[in-house]
Amino acid sequence: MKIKLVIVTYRDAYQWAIRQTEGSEANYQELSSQISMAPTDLETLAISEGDMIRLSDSMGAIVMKVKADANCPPGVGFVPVSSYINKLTEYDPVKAQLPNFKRIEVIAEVVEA
Amino acid sequence: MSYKNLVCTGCSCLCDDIGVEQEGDVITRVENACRKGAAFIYAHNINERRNPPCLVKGERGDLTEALDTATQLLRQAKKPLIFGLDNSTLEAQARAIELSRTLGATIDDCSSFCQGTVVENILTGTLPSCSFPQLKEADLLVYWGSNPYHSHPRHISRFAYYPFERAKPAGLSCVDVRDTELSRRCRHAFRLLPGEDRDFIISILTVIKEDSGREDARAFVELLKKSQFPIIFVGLGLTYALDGDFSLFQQLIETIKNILGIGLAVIPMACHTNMRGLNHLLYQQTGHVNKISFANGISHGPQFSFLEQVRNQEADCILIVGTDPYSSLPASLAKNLNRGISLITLDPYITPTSMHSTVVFGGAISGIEAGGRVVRMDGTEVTLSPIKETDRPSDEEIISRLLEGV
Ligand code: SF4
Repeated sequence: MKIKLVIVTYRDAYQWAIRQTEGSEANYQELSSQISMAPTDLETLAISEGDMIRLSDSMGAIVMKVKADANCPPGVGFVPVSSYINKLTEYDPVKAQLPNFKRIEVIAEVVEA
Repeated sequence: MSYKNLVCTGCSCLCDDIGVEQEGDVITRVENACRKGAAFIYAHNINERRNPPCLVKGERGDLTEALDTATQLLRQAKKPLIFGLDNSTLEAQARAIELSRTLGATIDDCSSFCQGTVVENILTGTLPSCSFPQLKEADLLVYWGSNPYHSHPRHISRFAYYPFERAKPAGLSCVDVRDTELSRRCRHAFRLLPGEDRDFIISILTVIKEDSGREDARAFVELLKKSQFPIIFVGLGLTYALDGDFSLFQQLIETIKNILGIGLAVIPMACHTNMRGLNHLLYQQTGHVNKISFANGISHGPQFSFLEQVRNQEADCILIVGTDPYSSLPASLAKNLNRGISLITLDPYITPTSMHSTVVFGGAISGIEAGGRVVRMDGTEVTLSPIKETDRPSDEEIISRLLEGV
């Protein structure tokens, strides 16, 4: 099962603080590789909180752990800004000359255990 | 044990009411700081996080050797670039601008893909702004594309909403793409889809001019009409939704002023400690806040943004000060930093960028180990007094020595 998702990156105070005190180690990596999604999107993908999904776009693919969050609109995933999600961010030199940190269009699919 | 006061340099709020207890050289207790600020202050004690004072090609060296190598790289470079400085003091930034002039280098900072356009519009008078103390008069605070609970955790409690005794409490509102800690405290929270901000602004303009438009835009205008001094805190969400082009937003502010008769002010939710400081210095000297080349006099343009420079592999030597482009850039751009570019990094902390650099200066941390002046997100200058002595040189000292060397 696959769905289209728009990823919005955001600043997370907990993840930022962990990076200050521990560097880019395990806890930081764990917080950086979580995606918050609408419960309805989890239902569509037939997955539960804690499951892994694969996100891909023309830049590459990464795997993230899913968090159900009723505050998220369907079709939009929220990921803390980090070098991990930056594997998928693109830079458009023509349109805005900005990276698409706030609008990364990806395909999300279930990672089988 | 001693007790000292400190300005937190964890973000551009620059909270000046932080207390720390020190035992010997170690900070054992931090008062008043938020989670980010406390982590920032405690981190300087963690040796494993710190870069050694000097590294040359991965080996520990002394300051003279590191300065000689860095000077040589800068002198040999055909297209040097200086990037960052947003966590350095005004004094260090001024020296870096001088170094750029001397080298005929390009200089840019994170503001070229953050809030630089908003700051430039404020400095040119295109967007009205105000300082934090003036927020006492504000009766409506709108956070647009920003969740201060995570980006600037004490913004609301220390500066914007709670510190003032107002005759009538100010209204709190936000425009965002999801419900957040902030939206749950707002009576009026406007929720948009990612990138929908432009349509929302156009609809607000239509409501004001023609009294027709979408429901949420009508509600936004009604909210404005009840206010005499509304403030919009511009977050990265708005900047990116508008693709960094604030002309439509300016039109909105002018229309609100001219048709509704409401004088509104804007404050950028600048991310880094002293991003606004570099913007101010460059503006005073060149008429622009970022993206400057000193190769032939003063030139300014998108081709001098760090992102374009890296994409086109223009620079052959980059002096990176207090920032980590290996982590913060799209990986597709960051990989260009590996392509034969000499990197010289000034950063107190070990980062992927410092690990890829030919020369690393692990200098003093501004605000804790080094003093100087910085500019808060509202444009107010704040003085930093160091609370710890260190042998590590400050950014200002290192850049001054590089300037002497070249
Ligand atoms: S809000 Fe910013 S300046 Fe204030 S304590 Fe937190 S990190 Fe430090």
